[in-house]
Amino acid sequence: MKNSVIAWVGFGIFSISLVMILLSELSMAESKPNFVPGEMTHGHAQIEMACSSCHEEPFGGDLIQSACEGCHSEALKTAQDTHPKSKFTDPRNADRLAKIEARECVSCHREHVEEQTFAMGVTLPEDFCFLCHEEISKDRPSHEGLGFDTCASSGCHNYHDNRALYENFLLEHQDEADILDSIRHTFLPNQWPKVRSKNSPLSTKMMTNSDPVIVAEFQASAHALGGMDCAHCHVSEQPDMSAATIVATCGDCHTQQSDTFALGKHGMKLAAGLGEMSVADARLPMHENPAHDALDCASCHDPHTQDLNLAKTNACLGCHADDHSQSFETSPHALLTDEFEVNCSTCHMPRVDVTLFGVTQQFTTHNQNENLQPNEQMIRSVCMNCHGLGFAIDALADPALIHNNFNGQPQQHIESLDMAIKRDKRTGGKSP
Amino acid sequence: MTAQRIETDLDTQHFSVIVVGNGPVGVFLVTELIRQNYQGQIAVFGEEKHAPYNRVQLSAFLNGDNAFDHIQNPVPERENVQSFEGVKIVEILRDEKRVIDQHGVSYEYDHLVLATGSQPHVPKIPGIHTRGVYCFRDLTDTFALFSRKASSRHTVILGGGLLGLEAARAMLKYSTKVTLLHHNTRLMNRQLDDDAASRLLQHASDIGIDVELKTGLKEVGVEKDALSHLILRDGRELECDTLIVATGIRPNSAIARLAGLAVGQGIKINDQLKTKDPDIYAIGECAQWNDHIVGLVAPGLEQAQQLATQIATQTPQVYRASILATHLKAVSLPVFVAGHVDPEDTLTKSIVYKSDAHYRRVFLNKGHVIGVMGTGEWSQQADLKSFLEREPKLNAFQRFHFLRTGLLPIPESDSPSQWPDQALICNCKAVTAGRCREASRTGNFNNFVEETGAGTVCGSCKPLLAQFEHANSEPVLGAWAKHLFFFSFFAGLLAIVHMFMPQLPTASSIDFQATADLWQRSEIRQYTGFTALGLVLIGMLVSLVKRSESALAKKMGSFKTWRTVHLAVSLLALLVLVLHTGLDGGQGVNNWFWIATLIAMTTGGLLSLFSALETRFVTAKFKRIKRWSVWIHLLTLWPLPALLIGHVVSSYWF
Repeated sequence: MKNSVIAWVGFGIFSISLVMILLSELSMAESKPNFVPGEMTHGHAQIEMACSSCHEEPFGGDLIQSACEGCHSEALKTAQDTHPKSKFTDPRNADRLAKIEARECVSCHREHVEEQTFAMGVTLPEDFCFLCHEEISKDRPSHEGLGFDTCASSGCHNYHDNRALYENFLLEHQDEADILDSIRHTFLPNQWPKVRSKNSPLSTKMMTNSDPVIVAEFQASAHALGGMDCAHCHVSEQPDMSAATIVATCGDCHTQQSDTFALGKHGMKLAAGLGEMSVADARLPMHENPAHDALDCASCHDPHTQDLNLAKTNACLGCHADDHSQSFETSPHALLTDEFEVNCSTCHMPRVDVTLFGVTQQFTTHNQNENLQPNEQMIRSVCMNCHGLGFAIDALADPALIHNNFNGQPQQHIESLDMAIKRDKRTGGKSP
Repeated sequence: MTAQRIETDLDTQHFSVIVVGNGPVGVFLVTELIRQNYQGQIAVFGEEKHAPYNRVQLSAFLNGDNAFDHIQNPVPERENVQSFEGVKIVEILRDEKRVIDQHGVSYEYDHLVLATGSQPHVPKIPGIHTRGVYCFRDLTDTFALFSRKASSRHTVILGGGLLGLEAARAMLKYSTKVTLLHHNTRLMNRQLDDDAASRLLQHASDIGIDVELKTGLKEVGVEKDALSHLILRDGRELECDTLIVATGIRPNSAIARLAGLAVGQGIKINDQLKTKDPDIYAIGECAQWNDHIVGLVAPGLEQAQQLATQIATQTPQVYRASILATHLKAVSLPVFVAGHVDPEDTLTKSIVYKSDAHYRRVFLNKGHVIGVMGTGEWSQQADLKSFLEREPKLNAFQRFHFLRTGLLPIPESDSPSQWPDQALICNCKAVTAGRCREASRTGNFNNFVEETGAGTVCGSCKPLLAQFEHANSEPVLGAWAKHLFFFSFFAGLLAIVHMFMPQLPTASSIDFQATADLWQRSEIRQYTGFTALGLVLIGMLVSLVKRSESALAKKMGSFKTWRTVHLAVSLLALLVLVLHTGLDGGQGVNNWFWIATLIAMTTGGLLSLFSALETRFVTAKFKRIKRWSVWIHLLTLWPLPALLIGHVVSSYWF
């Protein structure tokens, strides 16, 4: 009797304490490491500990969709999403909705189930197109006998972004040479805005008291030429040098750069309030030495010299140690100079158009990931500046070529362009 | 007997051993000598006119618990043994090595053993020798009290020791009021402390004995030559018709004193149990060894056994009183005192365990257990003596354990049928485990018990004897056990599957996705999860059926049925869990829950295995393992509810 009473009391105390510990972590802590049910995809791994970025409210399963859209809807809009939500809320497609709940991201992109995740964070088998397009060979006899697992993996189709792959676009660029005669894009230097000098006592003091080398470098920099002085960035004598402050300070002027930085792998952790990303957080192969280096603007941009060469290539290769990066310096791209120069940022942080108040401007996106999901996105914005479409499709579909940083010719040919031309001839140019 | 006397009247008979006194100790000495194949002539003299009987059982006889036949304690009938009943030895002629009886007949001896016992001490109180005043010592007294019991309206017992209490209980009758007078502030004050005595007092009152403490007898009131009332020390008068004096004993040492032997309180003996005269021994209550006089039967029997060995083998033995472990039934309440216990001692450290039915006090000297006292049943009673002989040290945990459970760290002994040959089963009759085993093997165990008288003296060894009696019947593996074995095997298999099997596969083709959804889609996993939980909860009803006393629980079926249900549904739940988890242990809280579930399943499987084997291995050790495995299974269930809450709440939280 006595033993059992003690056991019950012990059991009660034990259980209540354990429940309290668990529920307090669940309800009070922002990072809930013990409640992460599984490894996350590389896309979200860095913000794993900021649960509320996706799980906005307790018991708010319905809100997850809005969290997905919060970060990704802009990109989908830009990509002219081929399977937008609106397609499935259309009653005519109700039968398709029954096959796949395509109104919600998580139907195909579940998280925390790394072992069930395929390329592009898809958690359905690669042949999922079959669900709706089972009878595609009736419309397109050329597709007869093609496996459904090759729709997206062969470089022909993407679920969301087909900007460089749709039929009319293919036909439009059907006869292009591998390397174009003239580059399509001109890399005009931006017009930097002039800033009114502050000329505060702090600036004067820093100018006189600081390292003369730094002062000299700064005075030759674009910042100084644009009219800035120390106090524009250094608001006090003992400045807060945290990554968040640095990014916010730079972002005061370089708004689009800092905004896109927050969307990419380099800045998403900082943006989620989990502190700056360190090199060790990366899932790609990195050099060991800078493992503890943190990522903010100053990691690639020296604040006093604005040496763009550092930012273009050297800063990248200081950390990245994968084959693609390591092969860059021996690649044909690296040999190009002057207006033909190709560096890391040419492809991964390309200049993109932004229209503000009716004025279209170019800026360098700092979301290195934007044109990599999937890499066909890069074709229009980057590759086709210099290469023909057919060549670009083939090259980006060749993993070995990507591995050695395009040191050679594509070893495989994607037939999509040929198929489009053939169909065009057969239908006499009347295909939709 | 008389015929024998006439024959021997003229010649002086010669005996190798003469035992004076045919009480339990004297008779036991003869029994032991015979058992050890002693060939010399033996004579036993008893002054009472009755055949030898077991004095210890007199109160049970008076009370009606024991029939007259059962208290007989006959001298073994052998050619070399002569028993003289109603013959009193009155003189010892040491120089001639002769003794002389009340008729003047003399007997020669080589060894003379005095086992004369003791007589009641009757205080010198005016009127104490009146009719109606009794002692309670021998069979004659008992017969007298038997007739008195029928007519007495109010019996008063003087003396609150064991004998007084026993007499009081024996005299209880619906129409008889029984009052017990005791001079001290507590009953059995020589043995018990205040707490133990107050429990005894409570028990005595409960069964109808009026106990008056701190009072004594001043005078016995006499009317018409018979007892009519008592005048107490405080002046009160107490009407009564019977007074039993139980105020202690005095060793019968007169004959020894007369023979010039050294006599203190009793007849002084050395370590070889010899008196001043090397051919004369004294044992039992008449003897005084190292200033100790024994007042109980067990040490007397111990002395008798040793003396028998000494005489039979002619090798001197050294008597070292073994630790006195006394288990008594005082007015049917078990009372025990063992080791060095002084109820007046307030300086020795002691720890006390109390519960409604038990009181146990352990005396410690520098952390070592030196004595134990208490009331109420104690499962460890049988092992206390050997435990105390080691004077073991109690560590903090063991003390805590005692304070909580009242149990000392005595390893539970295996079935007595496994004990070593020399280990005593019946302390009183010195029956060893070896002899019991032998008798059990030959199959006439009951005859053996009757012959040796094992279990007839104090009766505390009866449960042990019962185990020998059934030692031969082979336990059988029942049908239930096979069930359990199967379940345990199945649980083990599942545990291995969980630990070593890879995760259930991810669909590589959309055709297979509907199947993979079973362990991947959260909607379906809700069903499997709650199904598993429901099954486990049904299985938990076994706990209710086992522990609840309610009629509903009784109606639900037997424990064995529910145990099978529990195992079946638990295993079914675990199969469902294979789907629920997809054999993926997850991480964080989910992983803890998974691991805790696997551990609980494994301990449940082990428990099931032990239960299956329980009927095969009927040893105390195995029973202990089984009991532990129940506790371990229960303990491993502890984290599950909390982790379940964490798992379920977090599943809906995110």
